[in-house]
Amino acid sequence: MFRKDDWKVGSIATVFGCLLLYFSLTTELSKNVLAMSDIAGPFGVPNIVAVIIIAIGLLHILAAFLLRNDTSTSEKKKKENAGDSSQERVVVLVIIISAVYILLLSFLGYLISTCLLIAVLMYLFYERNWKKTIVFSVLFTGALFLIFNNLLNVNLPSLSVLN
Amino acid sequence: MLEHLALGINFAFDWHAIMMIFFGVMWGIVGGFIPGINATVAMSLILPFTWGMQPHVAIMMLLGIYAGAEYAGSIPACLIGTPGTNAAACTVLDGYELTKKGRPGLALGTSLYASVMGGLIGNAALIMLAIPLASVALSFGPSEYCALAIMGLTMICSLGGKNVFKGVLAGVFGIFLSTVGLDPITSVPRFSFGILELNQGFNLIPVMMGLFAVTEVLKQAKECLGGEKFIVASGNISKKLPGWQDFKKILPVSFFSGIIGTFIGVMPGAGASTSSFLAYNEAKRWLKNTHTFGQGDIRGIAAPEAANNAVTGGALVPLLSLGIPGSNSTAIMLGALMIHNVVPGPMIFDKNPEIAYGAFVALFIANIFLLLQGFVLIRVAYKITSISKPLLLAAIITLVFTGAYAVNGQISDIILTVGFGIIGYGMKKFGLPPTATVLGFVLGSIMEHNLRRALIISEGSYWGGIFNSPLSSILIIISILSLVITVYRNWRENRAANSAAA
Repeated sequence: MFRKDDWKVGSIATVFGCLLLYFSLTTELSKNVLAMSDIAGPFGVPNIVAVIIIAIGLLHILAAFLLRNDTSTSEKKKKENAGDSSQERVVVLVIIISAVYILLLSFLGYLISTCLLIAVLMYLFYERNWKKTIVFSVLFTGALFLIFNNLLNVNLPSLSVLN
Repeated sequence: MLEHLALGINFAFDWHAIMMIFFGVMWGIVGGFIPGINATVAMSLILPFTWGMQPHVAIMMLLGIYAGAEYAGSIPACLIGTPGTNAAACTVLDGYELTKKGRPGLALGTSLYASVMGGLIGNAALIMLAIPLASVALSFGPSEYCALAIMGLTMICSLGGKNVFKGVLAGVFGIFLSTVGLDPITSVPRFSFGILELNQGFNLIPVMMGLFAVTEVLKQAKECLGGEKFIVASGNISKKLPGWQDFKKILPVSFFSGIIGTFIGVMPGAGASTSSFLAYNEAKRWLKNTHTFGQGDIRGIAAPEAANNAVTGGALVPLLSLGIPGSNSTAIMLGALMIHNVVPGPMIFDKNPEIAYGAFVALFIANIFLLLQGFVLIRVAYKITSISKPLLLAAIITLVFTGAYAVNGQISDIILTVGFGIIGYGMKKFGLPPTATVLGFVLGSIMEHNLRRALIISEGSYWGGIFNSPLSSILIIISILSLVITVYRNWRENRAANSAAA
């Protein structure tokens, strides 16, 4: 059921649960709110959630501590992690590209920034056929724009210069 | 009644009405297929066009959209692991697994058959039980709703795989997410840290698309080696639809889930998402050999799909018999009727039988059209799985971002989607199931809101609030038993696995 490396999940959960409990216990409620509310109050359920998270977190830390001499799971993990760091770089790049897209969206507008997003992502995913990349990014962006903007009446961001 | 039903048949089989139902189903399928657009959005976009129509035709078309959208959410859920609608979130569990095994035809076919069966069961219930069902639903108070949500939440235990506590951890994290924003009773801001956008709480669409779609894209991006086919090589894709044996296998579960969906649909506020999770959970609890659930079991696709389509019939019960819209979609139907000065309620059966009984027949026709259009769509849709990986991953991420933006027209929803994608990726790395978080998020707010209403009614007594009636007591006892059985089963399976390994 438990693994040797479950101390990571346990630690994150415990810290998160403690923070949750801290914020919910330190929020001051006015007398009016207390009068109109039930016995649980606005922070009743978050408090219960925080206690459950802390309890499960501590359980995982304890289990990982008891399994500290177990070698079977660590060997398996080592095999799983082989070559993981280079693959992990792709994930980080996708997140960075997404962040840049979000920043550019309000300046360049939907059409240009989405075209760029598709082209850059395809390049990142090892698509080296430029003709295919350009044609697909333009056509797919155009199709999405038509569906959302014209058919579904969603006001997609336009080029800020035009505004 | 038979006389009125004959009148309904007469109105529904008018060529104009038939055409509108056909168009409605088609429009619903398009809306449901696109992540971020659900039945409510698809219906609201068509609402202005109903002005020039006769009221019964308008309702028939809206019903077609409702049925089409509830089904079509399962197509991207099965093919790319991204649910098109909230109600299809549960279909990802087995539908996407089946596609990864190279059998998208079976996944899509099962979803179609189950959806149609669920829709027809909901339709039959609507015809036979509209008025008695409405009175049962009205007897549901906060305690019963709370108990029902707790029963649904017990499913999180079985989602953690070998470690039941990881399922619970992910689920309670979902409940926490549902508490962010203004408290529904006192309007006190909770965990919003002064950020205005957070006061409204998290919208389900960015949460779901982040945890499912972005997480999956990040996971797939790691394995991307260029030119590779998505999920499975095209040669290994089975286009075969479910055969008679498969159909026999899903028939009982579809029937059972259809009844659950109908009943959930009748209850105001519960909705299609709740019904699909609840049906999946109950199917897993009551059927035999359910260890294959979550690994591409067709019964795991049939249960949520039959339930969420059965909701369409159930949701019409309070609308037509009491004039109460139980969901956003039926609220739009109410709007369409009010545009034409038609007030739904018990009198509608006598005053406007063409609307009430016409709706009964139209829902039946819509389900038949759904089956026909679904067959055509499946033959085209499965081709998505043979598109090259770089192309498809880029397309999914763009579609997800556009869909997230479409919810409120705010860039902050895209930020949330990316944020939840990162959280989901991290959760998967640590063995925490993102599905449990979505389940906790969907049912958490229903549970909290009704628990607190029950506490107010019972003047602060937890015992009196939760065990308020025989019905809520039975539901809570079933939940506790289910929790104990799941933990025991998990412990026994792990012990057996450990002794086999030794």
